[in-house]
Parts: sequence; structure tokens; C-alpha cells
Amino acid sequence: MRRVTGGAVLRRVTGGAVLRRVTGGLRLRLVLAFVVVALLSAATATALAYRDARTAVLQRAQNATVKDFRDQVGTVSADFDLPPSQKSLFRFAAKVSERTGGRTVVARYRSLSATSDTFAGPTPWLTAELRAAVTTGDSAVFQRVRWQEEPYLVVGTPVRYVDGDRGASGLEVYTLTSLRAESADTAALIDSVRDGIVPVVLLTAVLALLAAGTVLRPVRSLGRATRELASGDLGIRAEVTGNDELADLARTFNETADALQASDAELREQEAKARRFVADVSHELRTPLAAMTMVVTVLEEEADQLPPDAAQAARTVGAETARLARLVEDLMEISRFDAKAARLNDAMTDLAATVRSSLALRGWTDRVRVDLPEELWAVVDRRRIDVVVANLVGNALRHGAPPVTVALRTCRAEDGEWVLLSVADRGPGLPPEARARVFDRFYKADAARTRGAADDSGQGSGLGTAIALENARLHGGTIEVSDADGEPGTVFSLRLPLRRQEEDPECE
Amino acid sequence: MRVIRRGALAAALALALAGCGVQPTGVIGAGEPASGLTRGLRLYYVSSSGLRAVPLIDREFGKDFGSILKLLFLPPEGFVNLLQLNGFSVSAEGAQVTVHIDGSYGATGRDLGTGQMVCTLTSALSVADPKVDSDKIKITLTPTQGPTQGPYRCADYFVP
Repeated sequence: MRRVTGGAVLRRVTGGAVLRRVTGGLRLRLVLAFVVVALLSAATATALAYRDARTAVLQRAQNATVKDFRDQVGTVSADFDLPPSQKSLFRFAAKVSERTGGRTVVARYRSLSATSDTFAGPTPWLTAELRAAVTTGDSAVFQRVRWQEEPYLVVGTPVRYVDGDRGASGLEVYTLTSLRAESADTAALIDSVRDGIVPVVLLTAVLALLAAGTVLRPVRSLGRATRELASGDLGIRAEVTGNDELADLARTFNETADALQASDAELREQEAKARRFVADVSHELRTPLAAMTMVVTVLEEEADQLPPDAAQAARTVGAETARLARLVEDLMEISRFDAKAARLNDAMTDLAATVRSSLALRGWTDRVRVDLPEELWAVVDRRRIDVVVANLVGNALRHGAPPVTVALRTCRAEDGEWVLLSVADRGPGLPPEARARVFDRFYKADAARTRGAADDSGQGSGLGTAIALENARLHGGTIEVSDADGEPGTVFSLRLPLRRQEEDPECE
Repeated sequence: MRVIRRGALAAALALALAGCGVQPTGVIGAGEPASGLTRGLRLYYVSSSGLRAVPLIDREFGKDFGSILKLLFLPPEGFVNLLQLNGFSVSAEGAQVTVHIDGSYGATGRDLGTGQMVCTLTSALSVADPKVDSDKIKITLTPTQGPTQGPYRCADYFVP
């Protein structure tokens, strides 16, 4: 019984484990957490580094551009006459452009405006706010803009006189510088981080797996040990490694298993003692019972010569002694089952013939309807089948109501062929609670099934159904009890695996 | 759940990073403005980077172009004079300036020495006569021996 439960537990747990292995469980959680932490730290570090690098690169570019532009504008202004003509203003812009490495330069003087790049169209990159700052202010200014999907730096400055009052001249110069190189430099940082993130993630995953392993290995072995324990191996012990919480858990498990094993051994010992006691008692009772039976037989033979009261007493003693003898036999049989000393003595048997002879032996042939297919052979222990049939039919006759029907048939299930021997009666039926306990030892059936002292058939040790069930189990079968489909009465069904004579195994 | 939230945060961070480039700004001050414009007369000398103007402050020459040209032969510190002239006189009429040279003029006219003379005279004329458009001023060289050269314009010497 325990073994079966253990198997179920084992299956359930392994199913869960398989599912977990697919969807992760602790291992996946750890790996995810590690990877997320690694990604977060990488992202944060990258963000900070990127920001600083970008600021530095841009600042350097801006400062260099502004300084160079200011110097070159100053140099070119040295031989520039105000007020300019359109032509000289264009020349001025071209000169500045040439000296600053061919950048686009715009020079403005009041309403005049000239662009160094004759092919350039309008100058949308020159924002109104920048122009306003240059026109009204007295310092060089710059502004970063996006133009045609590219970042640009626009520097503007008013030009002052170098002599006299160093006043403003009304001449303004602007230049456009591409920041694509700076943008690419900072983007390269991101690229290198992106290239580096894959190995980092893999490494963290490996580390996480290692960390998960240190946790999961002991947990798994503990789980395995628990399953073994559940399936009945009380000698199993978990391996205690290290000195952490899991080792504590394993130690606790081992202590629990120790205690369980100790109490289990104790229980088993007590049970064995009790069984031995029953067997011994039964055995010891046989000798006095044999003597008593002899005496009682004599008494019964002499009963007719006795006064009526004494005769009655003698007959009663005879009947009760016979019952006691049967009880002792049954007890010894049950003891043999309990001690696992019962052996199947099986051979090819004609089941229909076996049932018939069982009924005939007890004089029930006329009281029972049979439905027995001929030529149904199986490998069974004939004596034990006889015991079962006698018990089931006897019960039906005693407690049920006629007609009692014995039917034999075979049926095919997923786990092979079965023989089904059913004994049905038309009695009041068994209530559910009785049905569950009908195979218990000494369970006397209910008031619904007639049994009383008046029934002097001498049956009813209280062990009959228990012995019948043990016999069925010994064959690898069982006995089930159920309602007679929708009709009054009870059906006991003996199910036996249909084993035909083993043929010589031949490979085909 | 917590893992998912963290992952989302990291993803958002990564996205923010990826969306980061060089961002536009407002107008930012960048210190001193450019200065270099001069008022008044400019003398042109040669420096390592070609013709350079040197302002001549607080001196009035009027239309004495000859004296102005003579100043070219005394370059200040860091400048060189490449102009070679024996004797000469300068006359101006409107936007036309003529340099009369004794003997022959050795240079081709496209050289920096001639550029010094042409640009200095252009500057001198536009100071002396502000109504004249300095772009239109032309200088002609008439040596007593050899062909007339010019007319030259100062701007030609700055064309790359």
C-alpha cells in the first residue's frame, strides 16, 4: 500500500521537476537576476561614461572651432574695409572659409549677406536666436543644431575694431561645422559596449549557473532522498556537505529519517510479535481443540441417551467447538498470509470445473445458478480458488437472498486479460460504509444482512472475506464489491489475471 | 515580477543610450568676439602666410601716396618687404592710381612685392577719398623702360 502511494508521489514530483527544468525554476530565476544585474551595471556605467565622453569630445571640438574661427576672422578682417560691397563681403567670407578648412561661412553686414559656398542654398541652420544673440550681444556664441539628420555646430561672432574704441562694426560672421566625427566617436563607445555585453552576459549566466548549482545540487539530492523515503526506503540518508543552511536542512532530514526508521522498526517488531503471538496461540489451541473435538463427538453420539437439557447442551458444545476449530484454522491461515509464508501452488486449471466442484462439495449445486463457459483454462492455485468461491457463495447464501448467481467470464483491459468470477445475490445490498469494511477482519456485517445465533450453520469466523481477499491478492488479483446494476442485491467480483500456460518463449 | 521590472528598466536605459547622439542646444556664449577690423590706412607686408595688413594708426598722410609707399621699405618686426623700386612717383585720378617708375620694373606683377604696393595704394586711396568704392580701385605701373603693367586690383592678390 505504501509502495503504491510512494510511486504516486514519485511520479508527481518528477513531473513537476521536468516541468520546472523546462520553465526554469530557481535556476532560471538566478540566471535572469544575474544577467539583469550585469546588464544594469553595464548600462549604468556606459551611460555615465558616454555622457562624460560626449561632453568632453564636444567641448573640445567647440572650443577648438570657436578659437580657430575667431583667430581666422581676426586675421582676414585686418585688410577688410567697411562698409563692404556685396563682392568684397563674399570675398571676405570666402577667405575666412579657405582659412578655416573650407567650412561654410556666412558674413553679414547690415542688409548685406554673403555665403562662401556659392552652391549652398538658403541657410536654415542659422537660427534667428543665434543671429539675435550675435547682433545684440558682444561676444562669440555657438549653437548645436540638427540639419539634414546630422549634428552641426554653428559659431557666430560680431567683429570688433582692433583700434580706436574697439567698438562694434556691424560685421557678423558665422560658420557651420559638422559634428559627425564627434558623434561617431561617442557612438563608437556604445558600439564597443554592445560588443562587450554579449561575453559579459554569457559569463554572468555561467556564474549564475554555478551559483544555482551549489544550491540546486543539495536540494536535488535532498529531494531524491525524500522521494526514496516516501517510497519506503527508510535507510536512505542525505549527503551533508559544507556548513550552510542546506547542510543544516540535510542534517535535519537525516535526523527525521533516523527517528522514522527507529519508530518504523519498533512498529514492525511489535507487529511481528503480535503476529507470532496469534500464530502461537492458534497453534497451541489445536491440541486441546483436537481433544475437545473427540470428546464432543462422543458426547454428540451419546446425546440421544441424555436427558433433553443435557442433549441440547451437548449439541451446542459440539457446534461451538466446530466453530472454534474453524476459527483457529482461519487464524492460522491469516497468520501465514501475514508472515508472507503463503505460497501459490498453481497449475493449469479448468476454472468452470473448479467452481462446480466447490459448489458440489458443499451441497450448494441446487441453490446456485451458474453461468460457466467451458474450456476456460488458467494457471491458478485450485485450493485457494476453492476457498474464495466457498466464501463468496457461502456469504451470498447466508446473508443475501436468492437467486444467487455465479458467473465466469474473461475481459480484456489495458493491462492484459482478466478472469472475472462474479457472485451476485438479490438481497438488500450493502450500505456504502459496510462495503468499504467488508474485507476487514472480524467485521461482522450489518443488521441488514441476516446473521444471528439462530444461524447454526456453524459459519462465520469473521475472517472468511479477509482470507478470500488475501488469496485473490496472492494471485495478483483482487475482489471488488458493488451494487447489482440498478437492482437490489450485492455483487462480489473476483478479478484474476488470466495466465495461460507459459509457452516456450520464441523469438519471431 | 521584480526581474521583469528590472529588465524593463535596463531596456529603457539602453534605449535612452541608443537614442542619445549629439543633441541640439540653445545659444551658448563662447567668450571674446573676433576683432581685427582697422580704421584708416593699412600698409601691406609679407609674412609667412602671404600678404598681411598692418594698420597705421594716428598718422595723416592725405594724398601723399609716395611717402606712404616709402613706409613699405621699413617693415615692422616679424614682416618682410619684397617690393623693389628704384625711383617712383604716384598720381591718382578717381579710382585710377598710376605709379611712374624710373627705369624698368623687375617683377612680373603677380608677385607679392607688387601686391604690397597695389594693396597699400588701394588702402591709401580709399582713406584719402572715402567716396571711392575700394573694389573698383585699379593700379597701373608705367616704367620708363618696358611695357606698362596692370591695371592691378588688390583683391587679385588674395585669390587662392
